[in-house]
Amino acid sequence: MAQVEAERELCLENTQPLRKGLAVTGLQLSHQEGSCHAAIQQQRQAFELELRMYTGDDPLDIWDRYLKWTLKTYPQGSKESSLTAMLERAVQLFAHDKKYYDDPRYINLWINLAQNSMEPLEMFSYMQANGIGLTRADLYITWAEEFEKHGNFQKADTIFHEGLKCRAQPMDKLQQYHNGFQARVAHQALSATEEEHEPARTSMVDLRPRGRKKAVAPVNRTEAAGHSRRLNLQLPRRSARNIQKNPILGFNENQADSLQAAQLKLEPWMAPPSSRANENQVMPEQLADIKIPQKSWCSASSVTVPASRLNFQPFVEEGDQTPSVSACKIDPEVNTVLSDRPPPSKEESALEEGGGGGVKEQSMYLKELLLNGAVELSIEELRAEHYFARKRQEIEETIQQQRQAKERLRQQIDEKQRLLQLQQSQQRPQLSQQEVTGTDSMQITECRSGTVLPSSQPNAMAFQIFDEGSQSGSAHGSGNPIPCEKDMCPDDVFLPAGDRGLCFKTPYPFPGGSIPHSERTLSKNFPERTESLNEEVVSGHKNKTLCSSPEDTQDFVKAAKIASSPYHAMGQRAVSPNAGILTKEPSITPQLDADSDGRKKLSPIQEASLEAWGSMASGPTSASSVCTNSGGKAVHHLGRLKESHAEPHPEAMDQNSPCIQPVIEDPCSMRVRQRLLDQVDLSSFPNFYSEDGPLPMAEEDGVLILGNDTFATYSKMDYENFSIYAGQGGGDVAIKLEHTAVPWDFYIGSQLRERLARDSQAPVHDAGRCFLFQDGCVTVHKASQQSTLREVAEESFEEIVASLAMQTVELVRLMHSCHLIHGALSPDTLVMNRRYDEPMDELGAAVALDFSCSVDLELQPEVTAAHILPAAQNFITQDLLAPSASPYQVDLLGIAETVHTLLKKRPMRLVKEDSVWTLEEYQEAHPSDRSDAFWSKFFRTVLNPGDRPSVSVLTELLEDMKKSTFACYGA
Amino acid sequence: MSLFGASTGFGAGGFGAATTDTHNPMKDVEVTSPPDDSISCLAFSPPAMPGNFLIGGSWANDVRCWEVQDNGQTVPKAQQMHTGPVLDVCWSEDGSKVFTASCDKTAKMWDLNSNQAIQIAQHDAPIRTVHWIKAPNYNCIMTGSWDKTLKFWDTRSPNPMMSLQLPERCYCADVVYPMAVVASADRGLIVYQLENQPSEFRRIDSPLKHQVTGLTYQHRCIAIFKDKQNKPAGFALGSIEGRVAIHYINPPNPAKDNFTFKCHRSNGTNTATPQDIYAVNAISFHPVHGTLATVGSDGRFSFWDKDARTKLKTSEQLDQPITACSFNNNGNIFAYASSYDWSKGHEYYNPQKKNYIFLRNATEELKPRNKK
Repeated sequence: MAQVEAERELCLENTQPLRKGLAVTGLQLSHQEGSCHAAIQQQRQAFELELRMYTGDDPLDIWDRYLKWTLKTYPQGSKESSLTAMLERAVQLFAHDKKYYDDPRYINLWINLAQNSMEPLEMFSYMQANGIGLTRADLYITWAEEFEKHGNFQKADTIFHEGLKCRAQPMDKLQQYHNGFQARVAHQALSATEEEHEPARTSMVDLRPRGRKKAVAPVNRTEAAGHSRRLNLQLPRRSARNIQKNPILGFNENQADSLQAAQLKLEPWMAPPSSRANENQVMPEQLADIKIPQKSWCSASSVTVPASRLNFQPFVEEGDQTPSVSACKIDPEVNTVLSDRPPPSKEESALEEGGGGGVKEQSMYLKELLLNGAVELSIEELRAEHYFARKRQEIEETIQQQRQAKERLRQQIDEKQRLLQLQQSQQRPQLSQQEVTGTDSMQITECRSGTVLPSSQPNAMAFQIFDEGSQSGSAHGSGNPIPCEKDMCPDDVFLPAGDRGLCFKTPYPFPGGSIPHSERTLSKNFPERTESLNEEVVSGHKNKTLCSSPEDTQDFVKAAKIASSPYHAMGQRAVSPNAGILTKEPSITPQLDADSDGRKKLSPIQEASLEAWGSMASGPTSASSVCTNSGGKAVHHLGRLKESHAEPHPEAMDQNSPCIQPVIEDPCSMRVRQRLLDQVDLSSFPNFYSEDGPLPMAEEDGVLILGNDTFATYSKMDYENFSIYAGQGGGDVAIKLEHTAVPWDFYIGSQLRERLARDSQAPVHDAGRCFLFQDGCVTVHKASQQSTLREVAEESFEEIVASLAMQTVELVRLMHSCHLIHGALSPDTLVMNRRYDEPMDELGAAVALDFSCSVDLELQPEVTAAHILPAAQNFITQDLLAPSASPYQVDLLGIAETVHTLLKKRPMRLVKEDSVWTLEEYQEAHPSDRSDAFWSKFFRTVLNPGDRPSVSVLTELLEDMKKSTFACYGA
Repeated sequence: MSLFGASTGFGAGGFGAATTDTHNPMKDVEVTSPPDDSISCLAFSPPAMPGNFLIGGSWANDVRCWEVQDNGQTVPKAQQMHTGPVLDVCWSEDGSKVFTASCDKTAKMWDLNSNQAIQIAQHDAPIRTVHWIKAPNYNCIMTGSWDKTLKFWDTRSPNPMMSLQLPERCYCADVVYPMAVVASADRGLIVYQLENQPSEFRRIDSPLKHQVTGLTYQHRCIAIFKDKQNKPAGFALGSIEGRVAIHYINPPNPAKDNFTFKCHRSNGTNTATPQDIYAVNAISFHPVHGTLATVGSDGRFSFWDKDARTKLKTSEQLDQPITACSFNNNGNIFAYASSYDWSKGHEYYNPQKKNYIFLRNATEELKPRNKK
């Protein structure tokens, strides 16, 4: 026991004190060498990877945490901690960024670096000269302490004053330390004459992991009187004398010195002082005995020297040789000619290239990323981390989805029980009304409960992937090498069409099951979706693309491709001989193995087909598991049942209505709309609710209560005048919040619905629900697909963009046929009308989440030309649109702009040729290229509608697009 | 005419019409059904196998096997999956098995006869390298991992026969009995001897050291070469910065025999603009001639004669980096894989871009200069 204590003491002796104290965990870790080694390594690796993977705007945060971790984990320093390397790297990394110069975390890095360097004082003056941390008290405190440690009270005091002069923050801390310092000086001065022995427990405060030049004798650990005592002990002669001379002022080394100290000159620094002295570094010195012929050196600088002549040089390369003949400039043709040259000249030619003395070099790999940490990483490590991040995210998502589904189910049950009770007691007449919605959502639940459960099963299996290592114990066996030749020749089954192949047998044909399916789909999905997911990580919108899994289609395409590849044929071949083999060598593989490794015995064709099936099946499954219901929060609603249903308050709108009407007005201004809406009885529209009180607070991952409905809100997207939340409540919804109490969106949506309803052929439009508050309004759209078109297009093929384009065209066509102009088409406010991997006969129209620039020409007949619309101004200045053109044409250009953004991810660049507008990239479109042909025609049509009515232009365009085989959902 | 056996090359062209497409500027034979993500490793079947079989591992978690016929046709044979990207593959001596190392921290043994794969190794971090060791008194699998260990497995036991601590994460390794060499992060370089049982033989200072700046470059690929007696004599070590070191283990004259050379760089002669330096992604020695091939991030492969210290050939530039290469057992075929190597990070990764494996006649182009 005592020995353990002693050991610990011994360890502590070497432990660097931290200002904050040492964490017990860190100490323990550091004392149990080896056992926790792996854990430490993993933590370190995690930091290193995080440094590389970080894409946010505050990378310093990671460094800060990394530093704290290192100090805690390696209290004794040691080379392994790479502390100095890390600090150097970190300070260097942010050195160009002045915004960090007063960041306490950055200053902390510097201070730590200084304290771990050979010459802390140099480091501090470098910081000062470069304006790093001038406003941070910590700099002055540590700096002054450093001086104090050296016994230079004068300078220490100057530093404190400098800090106070700069008003370094926090001031009171600085002041406090300054007071403490002054107290120490005073105390020392007072006790200078006294005989002071009995040093308290001393330790090597200055002991560093590396050797130090400065020999600092043991000092006191007790802070207050420590320095003075040490001074007495360590520098008895000098300090004692000085102090006796000037007992109060501290010590005055000499005049010049104090002057210099008082002014603290800013020295110009080209680079930070070296923080460490390299061990075993050979300093340049005279070579004792060897005389090097001067001539050979001279020639070495101009002519390649054969290796044999430099007998002391380890490698023939680098530095001072000329870039005589480099490998890369020999092109293959010339090289063949060169090959006939005699060997000696060749010797000089290729391999012993001159070093890049004058040649600048530029690394063509992500060097900064690989070296951006305390230890280097390889490209593969980064890539693997990328892959793992993607995988983690995916699994988290599945867990979350499951959890949500579970939660929803639970609430459904609660709700149902509650409803039953209520129903039985038959308390209120309103109940019957509630019941309708209640049972409605019930049905949703029931059909979901059928789908959620099976979908959860493969998810659960997915976790087993990680535990696969645990199989290692049992997975062995069957390690019986079968010489290939033996089986190869006689088995004519393996020789189809003259092929002489390997004989791959599948002794245990897999009976088909869910394990391989889940593993396959999972593992297949990861590498492809790396990109998309990372973006999600970056933006932090966990549920932004909750419903979308755009790669499903790609997966399917891929699976189909594999199934039709020669692996397919191979699979058939492999399956047929099974029976024979099975009886021949049944004992080789134990049955247990057959089960545990069942998936490996799949013949490729089975795998491929399972995979295809899996990817097809996963679409609807995940879709249904994500679906939501209004019943989620129904419990709360019941509580509110007693409250009266919110009556629409048409008068609420009147409150803000203006009295004065200017003559010429923007048709989209709030004022005009308010006036227009006054003519309309909005309260007569279904799904319109007027609420008392101000707009409720909405936040990401929160709950929004609107009327009697509760919505869960997830990710938020902010736009200029409004924000849109992805949410749930009676299915997936998009919730638009505006801070103007003009429900224009809802009006336009309702008009679209009403006017479309006049035509029995036209599709049904859902105007959504609208909640009008005193100072804003909320529109709730059903959105089964919560990704905006832009998000979908980010990760999709051109063919899918084509179908997005068609949906957009369809939306505009429908609106125009109802005399509505959208006005501001944007890939960010349009969503798909459904999950695009769901099969559907009709293409349908995209769902517009924003009508804020829309115009109703039936209500606003004064809008006769495009120039009146604010949305048209930009097009008019570009000369794309004549001011007198039909206002509908604004939307055609809007389509062009939107689709182009989706397709090319950049703004349009237009070219006018023979009074026909075309896009720059399709100017010389190759007619044989299907993609070019398709898009070039598309853009030509929407950019140049001429005088034809837009509805007929769009109808024709849509027909054309549908006929084209280019788009995924074309025919 | 047999395409690979014949002495006439087929790199002269004539495969399809000339296009602006630069995915195959050398007009080499494309392997059918290439992997769907970057190809990390390639390995040809050993001499014990009649015919040629090519194994390729990829970042799409799969390992595929093709038969390469004498006429240059490739026939996909089978594939196996890992639950993480596959980083390395190797064959057993007799060609009946293939060993695969993956980011899922496991190595697997794939019995080609039964088309079954079982796990044979486990690490705490992704396994970067896997090698088959055939010694007179033992056979085993050597795995090197980013968990800083080198482990030896006898394929029947879940526990390693031996585990050696590495100074750093294993980045690349090669084995030619009785020698193994491992290059690690932080410029570690360790030679092992494998007689009786594996043991550390020597730690070597990285030869990839810039003499002026004193900086060393990250190790990226390594390959052992043999002497005239067919015994391992040294290794070629490729760095991330367009440089390869030829290093002998016991050279008569170290200063003379060991050297480094630059490769996979552009603007070689133009001193006005900076020279672009690319990573050397893989090195492979010709089994007959002892010449070597390097492939790089610049999308080129080069053939070198280390004894004559001369370059034999450099390819045209492909539109993607070359990530892996391998010679078949008699040195007639050179396989190289064109796919993204992540050298510029994920921003430059295009999952839509197709990956290729090409086969090239290697008989003539790799003949050393001084022999005729």
